[in-house]
Amino acid sequence: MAMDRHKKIGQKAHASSQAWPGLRRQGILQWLALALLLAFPFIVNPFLLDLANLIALASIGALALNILIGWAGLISLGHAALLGAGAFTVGIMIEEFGAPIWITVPAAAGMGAAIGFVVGLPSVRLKGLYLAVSTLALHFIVVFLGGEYQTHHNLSTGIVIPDPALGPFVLSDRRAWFYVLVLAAAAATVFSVNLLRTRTGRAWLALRDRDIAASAIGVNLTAYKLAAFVVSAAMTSFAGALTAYYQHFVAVEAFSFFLTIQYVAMVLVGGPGSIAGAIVGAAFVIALPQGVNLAISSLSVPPQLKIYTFAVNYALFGLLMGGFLLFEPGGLVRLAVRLWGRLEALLPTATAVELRRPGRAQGPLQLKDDAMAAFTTASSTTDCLLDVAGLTVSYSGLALAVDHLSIRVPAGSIVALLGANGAGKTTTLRAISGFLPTETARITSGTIRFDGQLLDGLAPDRIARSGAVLVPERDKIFATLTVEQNLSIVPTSAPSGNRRAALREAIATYFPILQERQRQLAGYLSGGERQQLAMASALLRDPRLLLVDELSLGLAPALVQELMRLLEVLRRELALTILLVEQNAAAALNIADYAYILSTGRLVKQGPAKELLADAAVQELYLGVSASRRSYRQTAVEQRQ
Amino acid sequence: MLLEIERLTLHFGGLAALNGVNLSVGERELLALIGPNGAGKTCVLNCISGLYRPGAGQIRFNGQDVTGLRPDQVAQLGVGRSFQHVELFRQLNVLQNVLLGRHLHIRSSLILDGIWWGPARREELAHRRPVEQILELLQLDSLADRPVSELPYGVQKLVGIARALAMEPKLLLLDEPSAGMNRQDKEHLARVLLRIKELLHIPMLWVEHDMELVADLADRVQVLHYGQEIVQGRPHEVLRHAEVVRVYLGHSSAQN
Repeated sequence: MAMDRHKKIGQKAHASSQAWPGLRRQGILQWLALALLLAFPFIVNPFLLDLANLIALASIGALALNILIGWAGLISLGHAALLGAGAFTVGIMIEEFGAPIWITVPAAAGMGAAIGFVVGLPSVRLKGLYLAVSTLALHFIVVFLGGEYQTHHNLSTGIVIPDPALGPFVLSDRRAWFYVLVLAAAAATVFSVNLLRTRTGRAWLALRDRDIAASAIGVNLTAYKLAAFVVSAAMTSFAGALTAYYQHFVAVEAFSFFLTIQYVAMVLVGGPGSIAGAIVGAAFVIALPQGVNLAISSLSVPPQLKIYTFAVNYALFGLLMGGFLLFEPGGLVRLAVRLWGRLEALLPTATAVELRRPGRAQGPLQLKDDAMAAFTTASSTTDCLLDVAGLTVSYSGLALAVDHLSIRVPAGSIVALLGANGAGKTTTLRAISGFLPTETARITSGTIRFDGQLLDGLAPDRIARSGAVLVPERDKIFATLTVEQNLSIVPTSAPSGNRRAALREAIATYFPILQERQRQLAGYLSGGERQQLAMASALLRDPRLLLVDELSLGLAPALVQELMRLLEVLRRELALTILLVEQNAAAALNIADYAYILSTGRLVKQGPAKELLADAAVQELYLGVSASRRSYRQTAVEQRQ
Repeated sequence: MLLEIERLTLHFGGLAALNGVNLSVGERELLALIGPNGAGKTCVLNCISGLYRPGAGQIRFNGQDVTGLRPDQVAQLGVGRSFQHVELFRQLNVLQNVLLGRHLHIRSSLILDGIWWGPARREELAHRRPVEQILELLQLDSLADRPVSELPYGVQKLVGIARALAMEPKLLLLDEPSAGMNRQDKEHLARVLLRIKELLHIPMLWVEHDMELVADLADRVQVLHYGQEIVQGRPHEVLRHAEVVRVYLGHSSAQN
């Protein structure tokens, strides 16, 4: 039984880590595809055959770059140089010693690995743009050395490479090349798939996502970053060596910086991190110029305009890359998955969207349409500073995070939005403050009115300027600036200098600790001090409505009480209205006038804070009071029996 | 003592985050480390696991001086940890995240991984077994193939603990595991902590803000304030200590 489940989990993991699950599916289709592949060189014209060969070559390079960019999260602009290094290794070895292919190609891969190691060294310390720039140096070194070799040996037009021979078999026919290259590309694919599903690949993904956590589970960051460079570079130079043989020719002009950009584009357009994406991206980038040429020649373009074909190519290339980066960072592969999902949803039987909705709350709490709702219905819209009506928010068009939520915040009140994690509290706050797009979520229905003005669809800065200011849960301060700088970069919303001075003074009064710490980097502040700095920054914007997200998270009990009391004072002194999203229901209810309780995106209870505090069901579910008053140890022991 | 820390100091610029902290964790002990925000609790954990390099003082683990080692070296010696802000690998599912905890125990090379040859394949399958046992222990087995980013925060915290347990650590560092959890999550967490202690016998250094949990579960409590130890002892004594109530708990909590 245990073994059974063990197996099942194992299989699931395989399936999910395989970017190409179709590889495993048995069936007629597979055999058909194989037959088509074998027959391909004989059924297409030489032009298409050459294109297919170039795509196979490019996909090896793209898979290699995907390891670096997609998995290890390391950016390199030395790809053309590595292809060049592989090609020149072949060219020079043939020129100097007449070396055979079974020596030159492994030597080229070895050369790539060695260069990869050296180029990878800066990655131990550098990240992002700095790393990219440091790899750029490689490009110019290789181009320079290649050029020097060509001039000194009077090979200004390039090194000619003869057809490679393995024993009696000479590889000259493009059809034969097709099988060799497809085999090489398949090997690179299988190698990639295997790396991704084992320890090495996981370690790369780990250091890309969270390098601190990765090192804490024992991943040696230096070793794995270097390994990514070495493996990727070896594969790339291997592809470069094959290209040299295939093209019969090595010349330094072929390894321009544009080639590097093309390879980066293959990974980005295909979908970074995806094996299928690298291959699709390679095919796309190689075939695109040919497609453009074909289109232009089939249109009746006047001959004098045809010289602009290359410009069209470049422009289209740039547009596509920019477009994918902006609108579909998941690349062609994600785009295909999404379009397929749309198509399925259009079919009459499809109910997938409905099924993924989070389960409705069936707990003891049900919304009662009773007198308590006076807060929400009696007062007219104009009395409410914030009026959220029927708000529905969904993530990536699928899961509903907030489902027909209506809340009202009258001017001068403190209203709490409570519920467990995942209840949709923070999502609601993001919807109000305009930060939803950063989470790939959107409002699908409902309205948000602030002081009578519609807020939905406005950018966060517009919303903040209109007076609804968010104190975020995370990323609330600028860690590399001092406390003083953090406060001085807050854009002025206050109408007059007097008001701004008054706000400054209020901050000095209510947050004395910030005064003490003003010269310190905000990154060194404790959790409590950060929270106060974030509150102070928000206050400087002279808000009418303060939206506070999880004030208590990670704070000591005494400090939570203190900050909650401070909110009450600020409301009075600065005539604020406050919407408070809280996990710590007890602390919030102590200062709130009214509260709404959410569960899986839906409103399950609302009422005056005092009544909710006294409600037994609320106590049990949200205030952390155990109904039977048992200790944690007792519950733990009882559960086990 | 499994872990011994002597006169540990840590400075950020001119600010002293730790000011001569002494601390020790014995075999099978569950030590809670509490204190106000900014007292240096997380700094202590980060010094132990090698993320921060202390200015002075010594950290001995299992009789060996580990002060200033790299994080992966400390992990190799048998220190596992969870993080305050989860720090899971968000693109991976639960099983893969926990399997990453086996990183140090899997002995295959990159080349063998790439060709899925012999040991790579055998090990990959063999290491799913302990991972599955850990998931079962934490009652996460039904979630094995779910992407972690889809899970509620409380469950993510447990996955973080599961990942640390997969390392088969000799010492477990927990950084505010209950932050962001509701009552039910916390009851589950309490169960998990007791299981780790009683079934796996792994000692823990536990930074925590929930005093009810600390009072119920900890063997010993140590209180930090401004980078210095102010009190330590049995939970019920420490939590009634006047100084602790003043700097940390606040007055209304003291009534409970």
